[in-house]
Amino acid sequence: MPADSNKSSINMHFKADIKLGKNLSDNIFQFKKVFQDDDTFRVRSFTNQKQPDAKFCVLYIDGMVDVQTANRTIMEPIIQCHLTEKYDIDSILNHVVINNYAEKAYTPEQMVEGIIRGETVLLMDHCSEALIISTKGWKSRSIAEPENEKVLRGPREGFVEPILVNLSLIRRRLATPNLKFKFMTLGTQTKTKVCVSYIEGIVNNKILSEVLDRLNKVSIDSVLGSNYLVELTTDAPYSPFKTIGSTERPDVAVAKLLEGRIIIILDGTPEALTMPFLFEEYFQNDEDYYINFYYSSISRFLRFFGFVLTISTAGLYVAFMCFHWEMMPVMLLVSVLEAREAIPFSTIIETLGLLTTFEILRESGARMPINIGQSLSILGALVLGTAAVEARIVSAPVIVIVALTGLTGLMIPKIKGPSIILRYFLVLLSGFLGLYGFMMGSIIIMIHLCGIRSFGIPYMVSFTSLGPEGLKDTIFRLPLWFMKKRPKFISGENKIRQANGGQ
Amino acid sequence: MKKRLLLLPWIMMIALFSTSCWNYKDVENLDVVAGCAIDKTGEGHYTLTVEMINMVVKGRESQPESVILETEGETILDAIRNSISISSPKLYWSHATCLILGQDVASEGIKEILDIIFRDEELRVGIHLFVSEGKTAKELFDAKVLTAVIKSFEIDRRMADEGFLSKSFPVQAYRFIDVLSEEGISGVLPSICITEQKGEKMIELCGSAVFKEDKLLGFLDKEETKSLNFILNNIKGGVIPLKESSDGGAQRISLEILKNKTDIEPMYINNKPSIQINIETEVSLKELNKADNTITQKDLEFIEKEAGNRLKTDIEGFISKVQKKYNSDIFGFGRSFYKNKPSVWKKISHQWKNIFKDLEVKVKPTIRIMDSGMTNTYIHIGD
Repeated sequence: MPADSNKSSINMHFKADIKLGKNLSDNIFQFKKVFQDDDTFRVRSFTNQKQPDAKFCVLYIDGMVDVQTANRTIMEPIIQCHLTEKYDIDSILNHVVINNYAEKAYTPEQMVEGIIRGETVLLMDHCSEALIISTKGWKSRSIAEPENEKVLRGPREGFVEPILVNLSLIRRRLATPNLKFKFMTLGTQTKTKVCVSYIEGIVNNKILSEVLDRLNKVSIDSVLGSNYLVELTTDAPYSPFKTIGSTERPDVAVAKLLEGRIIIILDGTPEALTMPFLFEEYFQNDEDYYINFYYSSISRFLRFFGFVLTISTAGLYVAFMCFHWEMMPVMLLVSVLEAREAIPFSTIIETLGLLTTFEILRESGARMPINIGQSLSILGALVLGTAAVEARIVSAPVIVIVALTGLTGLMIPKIKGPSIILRYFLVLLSGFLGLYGFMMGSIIIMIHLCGIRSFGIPYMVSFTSLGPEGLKDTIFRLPLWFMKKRPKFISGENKIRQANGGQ
Repeated sequence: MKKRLLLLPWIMMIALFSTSCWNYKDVENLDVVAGCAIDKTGEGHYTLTVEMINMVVKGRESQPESVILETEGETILDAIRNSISISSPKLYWSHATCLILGQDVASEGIKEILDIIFRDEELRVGIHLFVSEGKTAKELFDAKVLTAVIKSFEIDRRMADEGFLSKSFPVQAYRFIDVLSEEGISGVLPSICITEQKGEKMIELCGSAVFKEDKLLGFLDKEETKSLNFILNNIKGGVIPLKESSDGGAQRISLEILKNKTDIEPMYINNKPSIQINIETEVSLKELNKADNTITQKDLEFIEKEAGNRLKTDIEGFISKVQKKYNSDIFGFGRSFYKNKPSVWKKISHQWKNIFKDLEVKVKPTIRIMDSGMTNTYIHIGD
């Protein structure tokens, strides 16, 4: 794989200013110098019961290490064992240390990195090598249902922060040796572990090498969240639409893997990135496959329709209100006239203002402690609702339009970002040129959507390719027995999902 | 390449700015016209009486209100624009539903009025035309309608229900223009008048107005209009009332029209043109009071025959009246020749006026009773 060949170039290796010699106290002193001013760095020297000359020392960072494990597997056996006259670091490794992961380290860089990662380094007197022994242990969140992707039916497990737990969640669902996990480290300072996962045979090798290629080009000091990678490797960085998906659910991640997609898991992020990401994936939900296809088709369609509504309702309202009075039924015109009478603001200002008010409300609600939430909703209802209308500051139809926009916008949290931008875009164009502006804007959006690609796959390929194959799982979710093959462009050689799929 | 890239936004800009859709205007800055009446003054100026929708704000509520505005000008557009000096904002005509022509205007010719409807981008060609039977058209807006606030909308809605009555018929401006420009047919417009009900003046649809070319000749009453509708194949519903004096004494029968198909058949026999009108009507029996047990086939046949006779006499009488009094081919007999027998029409078209006056017209009604409603007997009086 090309991934490993230039790994050293992307990860600027830490150069430890340590030269290990035979003298233990000298070695300890050198380590202490590296971790100067870091008070969590711990050094513990001890000797063997029978041979007081056999001096040892463990180095670790407090808090990163499970002290019980360290005591039981390193200190206890070394202190209590009967050391013979002739002992060396290999015999300690092979006969004394009782730990499933321990290895000899030759370079000081390895040792320092081990200490940072929560492992314990065992130094020995008269020896310039050391043992790195796994004693990692820190508290982390337990597996819980992801808040942002809730389902009524289906598994309730969600990803958590430690990467190995996440990988086990995936592995448990996919009992095949073809499931591959490839590790790499990103971030010159954070040294974040990144795992690229795919199913051999199902994955499209061209896409895989493209993904690895892009990851190798990433050179940044820190990767704290998955969006760091998304922004640095996405195909259309300036587009409001994302071309890399993400999920908090292992079952979704597995489903993506089975479609030939590649997933990337970052240590410290309870999320898996999925790629390539196509437009229809915004509207897909794992629950769609856990319930009857009629109902999931209805909700799938509603989600598409909701997206169209949320970006276009306000724009259409402005266009009709300010340019195309003749296209409204006369009774509607009269009732709008009634509502608009004696309103001080023009329609476009009114619409933009209320849309912004709604966004403010949403933003302040998003990160608010729950106990303040109630007063926020009361305030919001008052500001946006009755009071503004009764004071004749805004007209009632705008409230209806903004409420509809907001409601449909909350239907798919994933597409929130693009819809805010597109909504304003269409409102401004409509206010400027009426329906012509609106149509122009819609055409621009369509051209953009058809123009972008995700790792070489056209974003709208399911909608634009000839033949029904791609459409089976887009606006409607067809019954499972219709979907006999994996997505044509994404998957590799193994395209058959179900029996009879080959015919 | 760079030049080409610059060209793209340029083309888009041009495409955007050359739309005719430029003027941003908030909806409350419109005075929506609901309807309009056109009269002429002594000097030949046009007087427009415009009904527009005004919003009255009462505290928190606002309500629509009908406001009548009168404006005068040398031409129609002049009059429309003159309204700005009386009232602002500018009148908005796209939602105007009816245009009522005064008698004077109509009898002097309405070509220029039709032209502005056809030409102007705001006025719709689908606007309903009416002729006022009273002296002026503007007095109609002084009269009342029963329920609605906006009178013009109420008149417009009546037109939508007219299918159950067939004593009037809606005519949109573009249809009238079509008829005007066609050969062998003259136009008819619905007429509208003021009647008194409980001491109050009310607007009523009262038949139709006969035109020759674009000039008004006279009016037809409601029954005549119904006959006209039969000939023009306009019937969508309505009632055929019968008063029959058979052996059981006088009885009244109502037949509700379910379906009607009229076919005008032009004939040319021995160099003499004539017309046969085949009317096929499907009806349903609605009122009956004969004192027998059940309705028999014989009864039905009898009623069918009676109704047919009634239609025949009504329609034939009406046609001969139009021939004598107006001599205007509002039935489109000429057009039926033009369409079905073009060679004959070529021969007779130049003297069609004279031919129409004495044209022999035969009416052949066929009435079929489809059902007798929800029962098949009569109400017995048991004593």
